[in-house]
Amino acid sequence: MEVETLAQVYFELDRFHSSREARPLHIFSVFPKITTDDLSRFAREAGVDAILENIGQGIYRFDITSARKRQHEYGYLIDHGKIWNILIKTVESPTVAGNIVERWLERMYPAICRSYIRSSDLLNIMDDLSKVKDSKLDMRSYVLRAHDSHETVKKWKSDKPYSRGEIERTVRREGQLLEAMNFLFHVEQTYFHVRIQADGHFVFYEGGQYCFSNFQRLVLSKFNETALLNHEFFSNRERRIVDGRAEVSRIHLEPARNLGKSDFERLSSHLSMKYSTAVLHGGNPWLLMNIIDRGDGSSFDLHGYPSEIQVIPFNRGSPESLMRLIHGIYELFPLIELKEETQ
Amino acid sequence: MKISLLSLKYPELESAKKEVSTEVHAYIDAITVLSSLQDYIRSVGIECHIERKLEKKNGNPKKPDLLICSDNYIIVDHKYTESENEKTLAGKLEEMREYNSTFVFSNGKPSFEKEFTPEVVMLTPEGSVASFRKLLDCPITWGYILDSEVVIKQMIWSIKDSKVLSLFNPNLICAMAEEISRYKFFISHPPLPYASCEIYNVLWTLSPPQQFFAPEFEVKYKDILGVFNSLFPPWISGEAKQLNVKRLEEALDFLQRTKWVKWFKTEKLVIVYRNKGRNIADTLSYLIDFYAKVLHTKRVIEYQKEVKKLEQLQKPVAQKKLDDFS
Repeated sequence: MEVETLAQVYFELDRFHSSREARPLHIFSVFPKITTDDLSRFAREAGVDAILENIGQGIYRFDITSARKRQHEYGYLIDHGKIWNILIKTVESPTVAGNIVERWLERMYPAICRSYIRSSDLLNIMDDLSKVKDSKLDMRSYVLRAHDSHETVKKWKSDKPYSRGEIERTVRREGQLLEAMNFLFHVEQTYFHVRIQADGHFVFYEGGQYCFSNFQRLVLSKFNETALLNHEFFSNRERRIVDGRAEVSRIHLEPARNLGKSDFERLSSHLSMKYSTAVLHGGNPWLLMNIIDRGDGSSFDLHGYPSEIQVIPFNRGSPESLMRLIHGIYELFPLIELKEETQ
Repeated sequence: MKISLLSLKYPELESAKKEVSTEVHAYIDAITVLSSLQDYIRSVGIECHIERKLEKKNGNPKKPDLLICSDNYIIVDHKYTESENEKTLAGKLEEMREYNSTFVFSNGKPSFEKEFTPEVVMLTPEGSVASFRKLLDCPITWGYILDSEVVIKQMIWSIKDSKVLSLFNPNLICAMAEEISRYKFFISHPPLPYASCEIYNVLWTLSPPQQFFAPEFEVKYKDILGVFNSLFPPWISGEAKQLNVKRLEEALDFLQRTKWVKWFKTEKLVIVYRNKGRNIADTLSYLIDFYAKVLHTKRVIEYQKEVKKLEQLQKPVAQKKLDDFS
């Protein structure tokens, strides 16, 4: 069947994922800094491949090839304007497919940037689902991850109702990042089974009639909305000169416990893996660092105090880069909380 | 002669590294502590100025780090040392003694000129106070700690001015101003590795927006200068800003030596190589070491010249005559 509209794409995915041949579908929510017209060119420049075929308003058939092993994956790219959803069908094993796209996205940064939401946003999406009328949220597991270690899958007892409080308590107790939720959602005599991650990677396993359409309506669109709100929150924060004076905007992060010198050493070493960093003051107890994102030229100052971390964008500080940096800090200090900024 | 040759010491790289690192960190500390102190003192209604040029009644003008215009005029000068060497410490005190003089304060209006003999305060990290304390003639000394706030303690003698004295109970605690994120060069004469580190930052922020994957990118010199100028606060003297072209060129020359950039002076263009310096964990510490090596090489050459000169002087007269004849 030829697909030309979003409804037709979703219908095709509903049909496939409710059938016996269903294989996991990897979905990514990403922020583009380029247009779909330029995607193939930028992919070549980044050392990977991407082929797009426009099949309808904002809908593309999408083929990607990885850098080293030249592995191939395909699916759809849905252009929602500020945000894209990349839907990749599984050709090889489900894990391989996901890894290929993740590596492809890494190479494409900053032309295409992952979208990140906070653990609390992830739980908000779950809360909203649990409130849908005549529905049942059947939790399977959730995933925690500490910096530089494998994920820990926390199984959820079958028939035990979803409890945000319980998950939050475990997260706090274990001091790890809530990375993903795996659940079945039953609604209108049908269901879908999905894993959703805070870094905008979803694995859609299977479901009943209208499974993908329901997932799109109840989960994916909510995630996109939240990611866009975060994007807006981190936008227009560059240092600027107003009436001859410099104005800066601060992002405040409040850790769950006081941070010490060893925490700041870990933080600077963690950030130096992804960024060009300069340590101006070494964290005894005040840490001051310059951070350059060599991808898009964003630059930030990071001030670390025992009870607060402040990120201050310099003359260029794109929201995508800022979101990525803040997520990097979450990875190390999962319980840190974002506070409202002050001028 | 023999004694002079023996007294020549081969320059050590490690001491050059320590010296450069101290200078850079002193600058960063000075920006932070002085800007925080200035904000706080102004917030309690006392006029104060960073690097205000003061005419000396008898002698050359001076530019103290901070001038507090309270009932008494107080000059606060930042001194930073990690050395315990008596000569180094005495040198710092000698610099402080230059403020024991009569100055003329003018607020820019010809009608307002006031002569004063200031109270002189040395501001130094708390850890360095013990070393200074051993010396005679220490001025009033405030020790500071950069914590989540700036904590200043009166550690040697005490200030007399009652308004400023009342700010210590017992310590003066003020919020860290974070001006360093607004203005990177709060006071003049930034050390070269620090200035280069900040300029390198500026270069990246001026990269063309859609050239994500090109191995290099170009930045126009006039754009760099524009941003560089904006990194100095508006009230810093025009005189200090006039030096910016020279400072910027020095920083670009230095960055070119690291091979991270190529700088075309005539074309007024800088090329930044995306992959150069990529795997360096701490850019500032790399630039400090790099500069120390440059300094060390220079010192070794000077040392060798000096040795050669002394050896020539030590040659026996007869040998000298023979050399001259040949």
